[in-house]
Amino acid sequence: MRSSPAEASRRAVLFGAPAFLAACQTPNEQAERIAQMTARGVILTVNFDLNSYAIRDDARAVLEPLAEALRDPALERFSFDVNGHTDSTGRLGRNMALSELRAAAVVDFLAARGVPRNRMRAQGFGPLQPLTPATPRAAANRRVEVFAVPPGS
Amino acid sequence: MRRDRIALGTLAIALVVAGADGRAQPAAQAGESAVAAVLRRAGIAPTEGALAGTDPKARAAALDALERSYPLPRSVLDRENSPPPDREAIMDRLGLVRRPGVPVTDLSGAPPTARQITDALKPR
Repeated sequence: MRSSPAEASRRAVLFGAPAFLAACQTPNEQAERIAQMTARGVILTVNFDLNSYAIRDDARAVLEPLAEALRDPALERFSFDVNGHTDSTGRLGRNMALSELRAAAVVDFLAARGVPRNRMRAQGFGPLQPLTPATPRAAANRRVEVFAVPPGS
Repeated sequence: MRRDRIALGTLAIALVVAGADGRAQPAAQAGESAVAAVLRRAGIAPTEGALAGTDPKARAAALDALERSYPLPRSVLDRENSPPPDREAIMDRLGLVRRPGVPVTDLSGAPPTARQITDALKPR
């Protein structure tokens, strides 16, 4: 139910501007606004050679569509977290470093294809966020996650 | 009086020059690649081989230096083949931003199309 302007003004006086803005929105508008403000992510497989952060030729099959997607006008107001993950095989320190440089290499690839560099952040999680915690050395844990983050988040 | 004006003018020029220098450095860093920024933080010169990761020697040196740059105890860095029990504390220590509860679409396993990625990330 939409409030009358007089009722909305009274609420604004009582509760301030945020309450006034909320009173001006129907439940559908509020739901849409909340949905628009929600961050979303994708899990991708980007293959690298052992102990390497160089972008392989076969990784382009994933990274080219990713670049095209991040340039889409539907995402123009979003920033992007590019997170690298490894499995648990080997030393934690080396895996942290590998995942950080791999994420950075993906960011550089995307920037070279027109995704604004200032809207991307590379992070390396190493084996700290396994996708399959019961089997932390499984190949499924080696992945890149990309999050689209709305402004102000 | 005249001497004071000259002194003030010199000071103003010095401030302008200093200001120009101050702005030039962040601008240059803002334009650097993400790999170069990580290497710089680890104290590694951004040589062509280190940047591309194609030179095994430069790559190993970069990884070693980056490992050493993490503010974590040696016992944690040396842990092998299993994730540590205090993962959240380690991620906090490294300043890693997590997004718990965010909807995530699994597009792993095969190359997705651009449309699939956009549809998964865009507002609904």
